[in-house]
Formats: sequence, C-alpha cells, structure tokens
Amino acid sequence: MSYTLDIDPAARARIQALPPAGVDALAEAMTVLSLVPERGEPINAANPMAGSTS
Amino acid sequence: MTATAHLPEPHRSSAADSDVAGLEPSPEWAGDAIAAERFGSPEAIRAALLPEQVSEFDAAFDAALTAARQTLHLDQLRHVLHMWRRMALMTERDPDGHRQMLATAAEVQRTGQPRPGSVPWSELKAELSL
Repeated sequence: MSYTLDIDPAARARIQALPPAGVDALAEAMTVLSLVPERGEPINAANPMAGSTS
Repeated sequence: MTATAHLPEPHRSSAADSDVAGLEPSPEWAGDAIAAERFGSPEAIRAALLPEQVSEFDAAFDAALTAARQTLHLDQLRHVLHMWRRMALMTERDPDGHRQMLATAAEVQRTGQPRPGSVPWSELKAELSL
C-alpha cells in the first residue's frame, strides 16, 4: 500500500525552483513518505498531528 | 551520611553547555550542528520560534521537565530540545516560509482536503522528468 502525496501550489513552486540535486533528494524523501509516512519523528510526540497550535 | 547535591546552576554557562552538548551524539540532519550552536538553551530556542509555535514548545518542554523529574532520566528532555532546535533553525532561516507552512498544515488538517490547486506528487514528478 502506498499513500498519495498532494503538493499545494506554493510547495510546487518551491520544488520547481530546486536545483537538480535537491529535486533528487526530495524525490527520495517523497518515496519514503508515500510508503511509510508513520516512520517520521514528530516534533511533539504528545501531539504528532500538530501543524500549528491554532 | 550526606549526599552531594547537584543543583542546577542557571547562571553557570559551563554547566548548561555540558548538558546541551550531549544532546546530539550523532547528528542525523545536516543542520543539527548549526542548530546546536545557535540554540544552546531552551530560551534561545523559544526566542527563535514564531508566536504561534511558542505554546506548543512550552507544553512539550514542560512535559519533558516533568518526565525528567519523575524518571530521573533526561532522554525526553534531550529529545524535545533536539527536535525544537531544528524547528528553531528552520524558522529562523525562513520565517515567512515557515509561517506559511504552519498555516497550510493547519488548514489541511482542519478541512481534511488538499488545498485548491494541489497536484499529486506523481504528476509533479513526471513534470520534473524524474
């Protein structure tokens, strides 16, 4: 099973501006994210879904 | 019989430095060394965060302090400082971008939907000829 990653317009613009080496590294990270997103380490383990406090 | 008390010495930078120095035994991120140098104290980390991040940092730091008191281990405290040091560095390097990222994450979390105009990574990947 893999997950779909949606790239919003702001992120898309930033990705398109990356140098080739950056794009390659990002692609590897995206592959990991699409397969095992739960392997990442949350900033706040008590609130792993938090994007902000708002 | 008396026990030697190792009380915190907040005004002794050497004590604080030695505690902080042990937090990154093996840096996993290219920015860890810089972050450790730039944000050697919780105060420095907090000062670098956006206002909307501060309460979450305070809560995580407070929980880690409580855990340290209860367990007599500093692992959680070290981990919290390690992770928030990264956040502080990313915030400092690009505060506007970071603010936008937080707002975007909050919006997606709230609505449960991709933002308008979003495309699947597979589509962008093809566009980038990857």
